[in-house]
Amino acid sequence: MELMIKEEEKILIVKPLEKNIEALNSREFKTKMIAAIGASHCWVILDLAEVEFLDSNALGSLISLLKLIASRGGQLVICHARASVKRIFTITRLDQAIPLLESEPAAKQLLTNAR
Amino acid sequence: MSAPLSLTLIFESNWLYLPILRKIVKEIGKEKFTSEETIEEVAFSLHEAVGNIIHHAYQNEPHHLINLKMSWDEKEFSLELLDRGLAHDPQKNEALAHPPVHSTIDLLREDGRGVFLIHHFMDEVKYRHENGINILLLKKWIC
Repeated sequence: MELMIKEEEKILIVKPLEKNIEALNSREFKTKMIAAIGASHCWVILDLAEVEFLDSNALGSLISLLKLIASRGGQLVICHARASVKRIFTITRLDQAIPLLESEPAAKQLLTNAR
Repeated sequence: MSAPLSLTLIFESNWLYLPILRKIVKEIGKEKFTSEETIEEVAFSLHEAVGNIIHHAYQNEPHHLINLKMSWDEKEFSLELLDRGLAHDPQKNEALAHPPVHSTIDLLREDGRGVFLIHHFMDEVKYRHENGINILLLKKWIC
């Protein structure tokens, strides 16, 4: 799984270049995300623009990442999620723990305000 | 009224088959459901149900057999899954299917959402264990 990674104003922005995050690759996704977050990042935007399908294994990986980031006093937010992906978050109420923003600037603004 | 149609697939308990199964269900679903959202719900539920068989019933071992019978008519689309793995725990499944509404602990648990989502998306979910076989029946009404 390929991740596009950039850092702006101490905010880590990660974009998975994968259509599906599921049982088959969710462990790899989590491992690569942990490596990208490293020892210091605690403000993270996950750009899901390319992701069309996300299953319960992927949700488990995201919660694990959320816990890691929250333990550092930071926050994980998601931007550009498609309607089908947003729906999974809403039904499982995960949108209450991981905010879903329409755009990267909106996600950055939320994290900037939270700092 | 047209006769019911059915398609049976027998495949090994390998995660690689899940994307293929989603595609097959979506293709059949296009003929039966007018809503793209409904097709996604059925495909998602099958994905999670097969994933649970591989993970829980077969403990991630790749060479066990899973039998899937898809059948559909004008009233319903049904998926019947058979496996010979470990039996489900009905009490645990019931708790996962209907978690407490405002529990923060449940909100941040890392597993169990698959069962919850299957129950949310499908109109009927029935499980039974007979003669060493797990039988899971999922149904979606066609409106």
